[in-house]
Amino acid sequence: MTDTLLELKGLEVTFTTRRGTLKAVDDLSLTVKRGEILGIVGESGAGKSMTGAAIIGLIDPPGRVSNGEIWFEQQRVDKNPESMRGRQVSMVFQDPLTSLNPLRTVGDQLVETILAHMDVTKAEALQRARDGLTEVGIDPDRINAYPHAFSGGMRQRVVIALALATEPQLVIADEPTTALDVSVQAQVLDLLKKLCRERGTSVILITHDMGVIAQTSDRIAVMYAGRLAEIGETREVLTNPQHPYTQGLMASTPSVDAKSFGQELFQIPGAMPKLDALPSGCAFNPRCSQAHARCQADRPPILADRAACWLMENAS
Amino acid sequence: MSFVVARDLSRTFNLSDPWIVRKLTMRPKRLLKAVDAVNFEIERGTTYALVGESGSGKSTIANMVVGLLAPSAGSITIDGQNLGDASMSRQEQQRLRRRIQMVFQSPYASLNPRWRVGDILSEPMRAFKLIDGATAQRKRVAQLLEQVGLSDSDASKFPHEFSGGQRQRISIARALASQPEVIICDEPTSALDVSVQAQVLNLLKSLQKEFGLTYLFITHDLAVVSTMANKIGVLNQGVLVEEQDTEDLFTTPREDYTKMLLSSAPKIDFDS
Amino acid sequence: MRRFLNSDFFYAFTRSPLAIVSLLVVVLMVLSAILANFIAPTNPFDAASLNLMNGFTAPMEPNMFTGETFLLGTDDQGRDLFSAILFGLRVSLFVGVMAVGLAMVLGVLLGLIAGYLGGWLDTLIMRLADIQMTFPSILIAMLIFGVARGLLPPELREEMAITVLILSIGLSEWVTFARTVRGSTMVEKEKEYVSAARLIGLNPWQIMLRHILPNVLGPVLVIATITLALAIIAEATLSFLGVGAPRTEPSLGTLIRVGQDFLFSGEWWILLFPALTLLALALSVNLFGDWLRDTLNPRLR
Repeated sequence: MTDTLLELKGLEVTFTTRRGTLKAVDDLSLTVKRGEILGIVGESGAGKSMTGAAIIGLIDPPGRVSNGEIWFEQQRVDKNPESMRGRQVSMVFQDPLTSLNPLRTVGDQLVETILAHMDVTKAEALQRARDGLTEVGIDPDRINAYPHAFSGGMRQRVVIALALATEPQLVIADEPTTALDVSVQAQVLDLLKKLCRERGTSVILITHDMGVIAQTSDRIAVMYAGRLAEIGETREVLTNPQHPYTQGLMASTPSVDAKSFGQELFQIPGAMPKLDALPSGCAFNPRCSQAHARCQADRPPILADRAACWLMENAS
Repeated sequence: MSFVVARDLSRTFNLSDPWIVRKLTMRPKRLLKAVDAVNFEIERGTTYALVGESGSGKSTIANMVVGLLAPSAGSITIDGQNLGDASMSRQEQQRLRRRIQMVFQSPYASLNPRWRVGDILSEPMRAFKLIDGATAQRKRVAQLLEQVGLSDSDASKFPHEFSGGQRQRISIARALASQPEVIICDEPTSALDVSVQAQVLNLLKSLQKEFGLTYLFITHDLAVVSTMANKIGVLNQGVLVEEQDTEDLFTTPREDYTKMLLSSAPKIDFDS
Repeated sequence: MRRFLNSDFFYAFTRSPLAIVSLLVVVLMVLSAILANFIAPTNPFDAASLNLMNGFTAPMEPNMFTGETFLLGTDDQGRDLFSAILFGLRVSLFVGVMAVGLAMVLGVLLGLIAGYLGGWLDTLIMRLADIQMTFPSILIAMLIFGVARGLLPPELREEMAITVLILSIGLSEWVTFARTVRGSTMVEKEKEYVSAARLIGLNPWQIMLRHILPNVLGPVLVIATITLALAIIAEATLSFLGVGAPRTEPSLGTLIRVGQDFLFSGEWWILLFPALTLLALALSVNLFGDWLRDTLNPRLR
């Protein structure tokens, strides 16, 4: 049994609109090891949510996975990713208000999920549900409460319990704490981290918040305009970013304990290009202060196992 | 006296059921004290940040300062004048309104989707009778657009043709159109990506320097506040629990709540 | 114009045979109605030109007395049915469009007021709407019609029949507009651009008409189209029952009424052709309205 749980090879997600075909995810390759937390970070439109959706098979027409391979546990699953959904791969969504069915009790939803994917009796499922609630820090006697009786943070805990109820090997969390208050956010992230470490569950954490990634993930993948810009160990990438985009992002993020009171923030000029107006070559080149001729001509692949940037060529 | 003064500012919301339902179910009235006797002062030309989580009352305070909501108790005075003063004539009210403007949180809901940008920007000029005549108004619109980093040709476009960050710039331009002295920024960058946020915050700072503006900056993000504010007030469920100059608040926070906020903010800090 | 032709809406239109056909039929009918004076072979309401001997002629068969042929036959008084239908179409459409116009203006205004100003005004308007909705609109139309007729002196009754008809149908259909606009207004009211408008001191009317109205008109078009179909049917019903358009200025409903008397004595065409025309008109308007509603549904955008 190898270390690699999930592997994406050249994943491509396209949308066909009447204005042409747009590549929401373009030639993305990465691996997720057993038990590790991979953070996928990027701004709106970078393609990170699409990647998560592709893995679990939630891309609806007019979008589709048009190319590439998804390998899970050494099996190729891109043709039918739904087969793993719920059992081996589960998902935590952003909005706690709409992730739970308001008309059914929390217990009902947990039991239903467990029974759908696991071969247990109803009584066992109920017990597992109660245990699940205890694990996420909710009193198991609240199993018959309705979602509206819980606060946002508690609802996300229930959603996490739901995601972990079937003992999946991979959890995809798409902006799980964006809608929560800062204090609650920290608790929910800690919970997710703790539970996954305990069970050896891998996590793909999708977010736009660098701080969240820094505190929670082992490795980080930075996406830009549907492409992978940089990938590596979190600490390494955030303290020593190689791709100019990552460098720009780090420099423009204000920080709480900075030595930068009142100073002007660094800003990356321009904006992320729309998918139907991508520049030739490297997607970041018009905004890059270190761009040279080759950047406009050829699109760089991931070099030195680290960043998709021609500057890496000299480094390696 | 300071330029903007809030004295014992309070606001209670009546969330009770309608009278007849209450009588039938015999339930008591439900009142929510969203803001409880808040006091603060803002010096001219400085930025005061109100920090708090959801439900802390910061947006309610913002709406009261700008005149959209009347306080249940206490007062807000701008340069000595009180918007809630019933004795003011309509003209005096308009004159005071012109001096206070607001930049809102949502780039999508703060611009009327059916109006062109040029009209959105020239509306305050007409409402406050600042500039007369279509040509003069158009010139001023072009000037405003340039000041926020957009171009004259954007005036004929509709809001949906712009990105979130650009829309916030248009909102800022609209606020500037009435030549205000105080701008309330209600979470202006919360809905924006990090790199866009940096652009908008820098813009706000440079405008403050150029026009001597006074800002009341509302946010839940302590990191943003550290680059923007001179003074910070921490709100917890309607009560102002702590108030200090920026650097002092970060280095020597006094209240437990403040310390909790500081510690739970996600940091990119690998040294600890 | 170019912006419209390039829009997603027009693209969806060209892709839907249903939309194209139904709109075509409606346009055809509207044009026929407008150009009735030029298209119609005879003027069926000029009593002098009528020849009683022409009565009861079957379609496309020469009359046994006068030898004239009529495309769709004649009625009991010798009127060419084709011409009568064209003019009847005009009346039906005229009443329908004017009634919808009235309902729309009234309903949108009341909806805006109820949604934006709220309070007791909102309660009053909505209770009025509730009360009105408990009665079938035909009954309300008949009520208003009856009252109006009672108020008018006999000489004016026939002249004013059309106006009263428009009033009665219009007043019975405002509720759908009002309810929808009220809902949209309540949503828009909370948006920050409305706050921004208040900040520059605009009064409620200025805000309602300049800012909110353009944003709540979307569904109104769909409702108007569907209400048009309803209004046309309502008018036909009223005329059929004898309380609508009079025989001197008949609508399709009146013609159907006339035709009904003769159906079982063998002159089927006097009923059939006006009925088919009414069916085609109402159906096309309805189908187009349905297509419009599905296409403009914001969730699918």
